[in-house]
Amino acid sequence: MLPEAGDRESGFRAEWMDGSSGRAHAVYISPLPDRLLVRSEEGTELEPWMLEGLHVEPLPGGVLHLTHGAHPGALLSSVDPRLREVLEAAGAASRRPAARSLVARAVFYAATVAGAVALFLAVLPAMSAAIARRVPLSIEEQLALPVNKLLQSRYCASADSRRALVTLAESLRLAGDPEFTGARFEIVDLAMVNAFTFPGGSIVVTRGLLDDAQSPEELAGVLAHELEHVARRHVMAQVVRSVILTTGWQLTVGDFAGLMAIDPSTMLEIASRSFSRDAEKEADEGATRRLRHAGFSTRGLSDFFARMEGSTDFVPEWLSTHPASAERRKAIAESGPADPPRVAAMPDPDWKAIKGACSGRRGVDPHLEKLLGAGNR
Amino acid sequence: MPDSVAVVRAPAAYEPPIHRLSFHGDGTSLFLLILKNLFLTVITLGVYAAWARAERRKYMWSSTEISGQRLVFTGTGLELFKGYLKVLAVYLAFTLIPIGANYVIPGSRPIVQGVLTLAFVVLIPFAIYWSRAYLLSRTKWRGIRFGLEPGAGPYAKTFIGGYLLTLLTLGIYGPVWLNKLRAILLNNTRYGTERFSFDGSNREAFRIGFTGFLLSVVTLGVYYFWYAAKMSRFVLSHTSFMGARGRSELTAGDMFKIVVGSILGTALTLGIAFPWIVVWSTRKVLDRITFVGEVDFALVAQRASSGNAASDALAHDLGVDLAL
Repeated sequence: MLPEAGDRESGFRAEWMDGSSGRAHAVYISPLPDRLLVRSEEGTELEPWMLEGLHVEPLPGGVLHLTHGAHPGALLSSVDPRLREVLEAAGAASRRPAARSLVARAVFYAATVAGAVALFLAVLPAMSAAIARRVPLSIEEQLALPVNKLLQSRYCASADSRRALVTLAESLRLAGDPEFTGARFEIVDLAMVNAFTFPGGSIVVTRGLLDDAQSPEELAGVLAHELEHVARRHVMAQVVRSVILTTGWQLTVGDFAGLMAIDPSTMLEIASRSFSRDAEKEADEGATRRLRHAGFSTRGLSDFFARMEGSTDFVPEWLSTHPASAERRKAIAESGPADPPRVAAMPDPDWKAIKGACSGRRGVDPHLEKLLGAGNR
Repeated sequence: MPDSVAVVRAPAAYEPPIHRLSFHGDGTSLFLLILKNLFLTVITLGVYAAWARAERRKYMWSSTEISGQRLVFTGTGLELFKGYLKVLAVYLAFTLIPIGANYVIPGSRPIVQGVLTLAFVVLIPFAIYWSRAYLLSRTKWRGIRFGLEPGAGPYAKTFIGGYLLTLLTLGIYGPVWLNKLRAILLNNTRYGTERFSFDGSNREAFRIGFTGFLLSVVTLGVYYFWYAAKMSRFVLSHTSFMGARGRSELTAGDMFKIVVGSILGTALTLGIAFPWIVVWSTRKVLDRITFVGEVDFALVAQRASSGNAASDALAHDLGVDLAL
């Protein structure tokens, strides 16, 4: 039982534990100018505790723990609030900070943390992009292996369609694009309307997108967009970013994550979606540059977005990985006139080969489609 | 009134002493502590995280009272930081060894990686055990340290064997597996020179676990709260130290309040109420736990003990920490 506040020969009640057995002895502490006298209940005097070198630790709920280097392992524990006052007055215990200074400190901490987080989030995209550019291409290519394994069985292409796709991609390349040795261009048998860029410079277009595309120029637009992702190493930047974000999260509040109802990964996800939207904007800008450079019309890309508006723009933009399709179409229009094509994106037989690459295959894989759901469009 | 009926007075019934647990922390102090830790961690680019962890444990321990005396956490941020560095070295080794191996023997990378991954999985029970050993060795009460006897090997054996058996039996073996692990940890836990003991039978654990699962499915999860309360009563009533035996008075209603209250409280305040909720739920749990019976503390003597902060850091990274 805790000792009660009360004195015997003007002492404060406390419990003394010697550190060699688990027994707690009831004692009385009487403070002198330079020491604490410690008396047992029977009145026997124990060795005094000097104030110099006394370690006073106030615990939550008004308990005071006293330890001393000269009494290794020993502990004096008291609940008498007057003992603390006496020790504070004698300079042996530090004074409690005033409530006002506590509030001021809390505000300062909170403001600094908020500022640091804001700064961190502001420099993160540039930082991760810079790091990604320095990651050797060979390392990025190693990350591609599991993706290839996942999709391999669903690739559908004839020799003609594959050649046509590679030719189209080649014509959209710009000087200075990274030279991935193992980059592949594939059509994948999935119903969703989408195209993806994977680590190692590989680009995959879905059957659904080809069914939907009205002209080779639309496919060229999509491919130009994905090639810009490759050129800017957006995939690698995304990997770097998520590593930095999760490490940062683990270090700061990771200890509480298990007990938090708002799943922290959701917040990370929302944050990274805004980066992803910026990357998409960059890719759109790059795509129009590539199309003009190749002599293709940019109309294909804006036509494609115009058709996408109905099916995608019901998601609020801040929750989406991509800017709203209407915005993207407007941005392309503002970037310059949709110059009439100097060259057709590809000859008719090639376009037919590509459109028919997956004919006869109508596989459905809801799991895979869900997995890729938030990919690059 | 004539005293015609002889009143046989029973001798004053022996009332065994009750050792109560209680929690004295308050949400505001914990909130300020977390805020300060967050601040220092951010401005030190994460280095302070180890010290933050030690500080928070210190607060939680020293707020916990058992039979009139507080727990004391003696672990330091520095030892935890060194532990983090060691864990980082292990991670680096795990990443670099396969790359190096591939350099020496081209194509060996998947095999080496597989072997290392397996080693990593085997490491999990060791990390749990050593992490518990570390925490106990840094916990003092009445000036005496707790500890965990060596026994990570047998623990890991039970852990891995039981895990496989649980998989093979589609989870039916699960309650027995967990009970065996609990028994090893509790029977190896000591306070000073004296050991704790756990005598909850696997049969009983199976009965509670299995019916708990079945009824939870039938009641769409509502029974879970009864199961959780039952399990806590089972574990505590079979845990004893010297002459005292544990007792839990946690009811299904308590469990419901704690679980639902914590989830709603954090969700509605976007996590800001977290410190207050931790304090509230810890207090609620500890208030319902007692140890009943004589303990002669004079017989408990101090014993040296070891404990390694690296294993604690590792356990944290593997996500198997005790969330304390």
